Amino acid sequence: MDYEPILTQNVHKENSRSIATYEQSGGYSALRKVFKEMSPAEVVDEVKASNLRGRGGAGFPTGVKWSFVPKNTGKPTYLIMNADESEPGTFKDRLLMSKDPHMVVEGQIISSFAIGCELSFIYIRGEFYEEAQILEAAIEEAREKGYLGKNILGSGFNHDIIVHRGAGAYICGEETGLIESLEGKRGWPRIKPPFPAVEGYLQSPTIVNNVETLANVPHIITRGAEWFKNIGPEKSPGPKLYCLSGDVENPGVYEHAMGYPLKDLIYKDGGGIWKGRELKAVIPGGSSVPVLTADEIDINMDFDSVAAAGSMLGSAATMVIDDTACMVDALSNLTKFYAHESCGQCTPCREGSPWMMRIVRRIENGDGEPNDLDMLLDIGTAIQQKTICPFGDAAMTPVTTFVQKFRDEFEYHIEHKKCMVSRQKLMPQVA
Amino acid sequence: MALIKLNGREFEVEPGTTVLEVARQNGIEIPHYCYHPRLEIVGSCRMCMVEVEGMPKLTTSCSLRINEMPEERKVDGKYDMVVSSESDKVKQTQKSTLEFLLINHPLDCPVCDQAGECYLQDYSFKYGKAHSRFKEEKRVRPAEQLGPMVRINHNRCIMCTRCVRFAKEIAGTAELGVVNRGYYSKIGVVEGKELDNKMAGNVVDICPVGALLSNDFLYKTRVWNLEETSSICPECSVGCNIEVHVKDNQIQRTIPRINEEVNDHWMCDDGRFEYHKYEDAERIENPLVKTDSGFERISWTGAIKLLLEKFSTISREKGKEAIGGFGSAYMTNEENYLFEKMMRKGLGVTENLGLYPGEFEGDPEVFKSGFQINPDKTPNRLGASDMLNLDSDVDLFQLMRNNTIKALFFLHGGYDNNLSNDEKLALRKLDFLVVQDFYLSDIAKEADLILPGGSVYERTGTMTNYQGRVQKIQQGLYPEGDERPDFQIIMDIANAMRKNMMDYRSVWEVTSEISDSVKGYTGLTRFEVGDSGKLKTNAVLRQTKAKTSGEKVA
Repeated sequence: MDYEPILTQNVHKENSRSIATYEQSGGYSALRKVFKEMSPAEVVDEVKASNLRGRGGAGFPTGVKWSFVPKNTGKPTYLIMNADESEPGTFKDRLLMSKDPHMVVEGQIISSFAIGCELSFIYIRGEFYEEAQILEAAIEEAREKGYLGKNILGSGFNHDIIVHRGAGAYICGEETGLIESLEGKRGWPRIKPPFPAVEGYLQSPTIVNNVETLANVPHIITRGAEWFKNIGPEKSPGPKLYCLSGDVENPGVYEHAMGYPLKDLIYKDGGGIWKGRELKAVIPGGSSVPVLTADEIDINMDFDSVAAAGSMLGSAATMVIDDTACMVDALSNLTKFYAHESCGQCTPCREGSPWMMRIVRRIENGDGEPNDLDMLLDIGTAIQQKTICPFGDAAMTPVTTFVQKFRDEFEYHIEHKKCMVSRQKLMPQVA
Repeated sequence: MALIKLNGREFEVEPGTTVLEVARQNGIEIPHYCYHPRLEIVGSCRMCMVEVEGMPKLTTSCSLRINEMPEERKVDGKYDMVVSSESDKVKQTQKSTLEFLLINHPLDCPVCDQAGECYLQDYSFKYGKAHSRFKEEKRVRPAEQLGPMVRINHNRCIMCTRCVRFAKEIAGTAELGVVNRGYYSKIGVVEGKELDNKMAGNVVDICPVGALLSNDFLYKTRVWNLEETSSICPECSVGCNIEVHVKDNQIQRTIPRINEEVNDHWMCDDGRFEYHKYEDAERIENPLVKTDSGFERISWTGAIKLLLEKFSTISREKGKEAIGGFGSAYMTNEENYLFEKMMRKGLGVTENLGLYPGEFEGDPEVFKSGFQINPDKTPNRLGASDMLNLDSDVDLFQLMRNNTIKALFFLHGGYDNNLSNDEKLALRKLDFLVVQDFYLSDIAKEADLILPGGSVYERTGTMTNYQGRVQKIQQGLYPEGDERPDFQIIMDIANAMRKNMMDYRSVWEVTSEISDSVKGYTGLTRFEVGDSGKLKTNAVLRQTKAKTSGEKVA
């Protein structure tokens, strides 16, 4: 394989977390370069030119997002690193934070400089207690080195980072829910507009970026937008972390260029389907994206290619389901997650997510009725695009696509009151 | 100005106006639950979604602001926005949103106080579908008390959070919040608190469904049996606009009536439950005269005859300065006006008129929204003194003490206002005290003659609040004994003094005469005063801050 790892270049090194290790591999040179040679606008332009797209799931161009920050508002500008990685199947940011926290911190400082932010936050998932401590330690090291604090490297730029731990809600990964939570309120997403770039944390301009997104920034600065654009497809370029899980021989985080073939990810990196079984389905971008059947996996893993195939790259959390798994069972598990995590603010999602869960569970338990499937699709339509935040769509998408693509299994379940495929339940049911 | 086409009709609006506001102002119903004109817009119930030309998704009309578009983005070359609240897509969404709201809602309308004024009921009839497809078990949770006045039936709650926002943004007390998450979310009180602020009762009014219930009104009656009268709250000098809801000649509840200049959408709980005080009053149903063996009944004719004899005797023997009278800050402008006329023209009183009780001390209690409760617990001090033409500081009690005043006419001096010992002793020096009151008050107990009138809920006329706003108070209750309306009593006495001295066929004729003759009240007829009142022309402007907007400007 001729791909040279960029984001994960340090993770296998000894003491990969220490600032010494990071600096030996060229770490913080981008920061030095920025303060020596670049203006904030030039940093924004460079990131814009790189076509870096947000790695949290939506794939919005990062540089364009930064340029939405209004100038001269008289208010401070905030950057928040979204480290609330909670989408089932996603564990890439955790790897970066725990193994190479300085790459993340350097990205955060440079990005803060670009948008004129003197105080930034890392909003980290509450369960990532260890990672939060690792980040705190890294920030302290950076402070000692003078990469954080007043007048960084004599540039006149002041900056500090606060690590804020979430309290265990998936919805706080949605950027406006995250901001509410950071303000000390319930994590209820806000209606938009106004968008956070204009009115976010404490009603001030706020940029929320994913961990992996910010980890790319130092490399763009060091090696240039042109270099970055040449990694993978031009409109969706750069290094990418793929989270492979489920019924494969070798699950894990794999780094490749954007646009890496899904088949290669499963069969080369993943070593193929577990125990030599047959592939049945793949969820390519985290549990909330449309499921793909075994016939639909001949695609490249970048934002545009996966979208063209009718799904989403999302967080590139690829979940593999083999042919012994019951899709009703699998969906029952997914719907339980979304019913549990709905914030309850708006009607369709609060009422619809648990309703879908209970119908699917009823089918799974052998109490399904023939019109349940059309009803599930109907409830999906009633939720789709009718909610304040994208959670509603995230909750209905697996239901709709599972029922549409594996309808025979659901019908079998309703008619015969048992699974069409025979496998003992391998996944423990979440209590 | 921005031009919007809504359901095929054109409206010119101020840029920044929301689509829902345009609809409301123009009589177009877009169903909604969480939106309230005085609360922050949260867009969470999803009931008010509309279809906008050029927007792929439906959007909530409560949060959708109409702004002027550059020429090239105008629809059909002229519209800044084209919206439908009646398209098939919208109708389908209304149906499904109602289905979601009803899956866990009990069908207990027959025992629900809200039935008949319930938006879940009304919208279900209008926009919903007849059948639910929900086969699962409903979410069932026990009811709870949120505070002394308000309980919540969680099963009926649709989580619009109006009550939470009210407590935070209007009362400013923030006792309420949402507890738990998602399917298990419910309204609760913040730990260590209860919903006991003086504006708490309003959450029952703004709850669009039967979730928040008034302990006071619980299971009292079906709302369609209520007779509604627009009136004024008598509890303090703010004069909140209210509706009095009566069944079987008993007040069942009072609720606020919107008046942006006075009370906005709200009333306080003191005012809301004020009527209960009067229920306990021991009414006087006949004129009573004091004898050695206590009060005895006397006919109206006999009572008026006795009154005139006593007053004319004392006036003849001791001069006109021996006659005095207290008007009433609890009675209407019309009653005080007639009283003044009777006292001055009929009995020749010049200076010996006053008001009882005197001014209340203290500062108003002001809430976050600016809504206030005044320390002056009389509803019409300003109007009464305007009508009585009080221009000197005459201390009537002092004049009784020094034996100047020997005969006194005392109009109702408030419910439960107890006389001080000094005041009692002063009254006891009189030769003749006539008290016009509806119950055996501290004052009436001192009387030689009691003329039974009505309580404040039995009056029709106008009152002038502390701002100088003249407002209509209207009779909701009718006496069951031989009482007479207060203005009628005064007319009867005056006409007994001199035939046709007061020839009014209704209270409103008195209002008209006031509008012709009292300074500051020029032109303020019944019709001019209307439903929301009018400032008198010489009002010393003391506007309340009641009108506020809880809305966040986006």
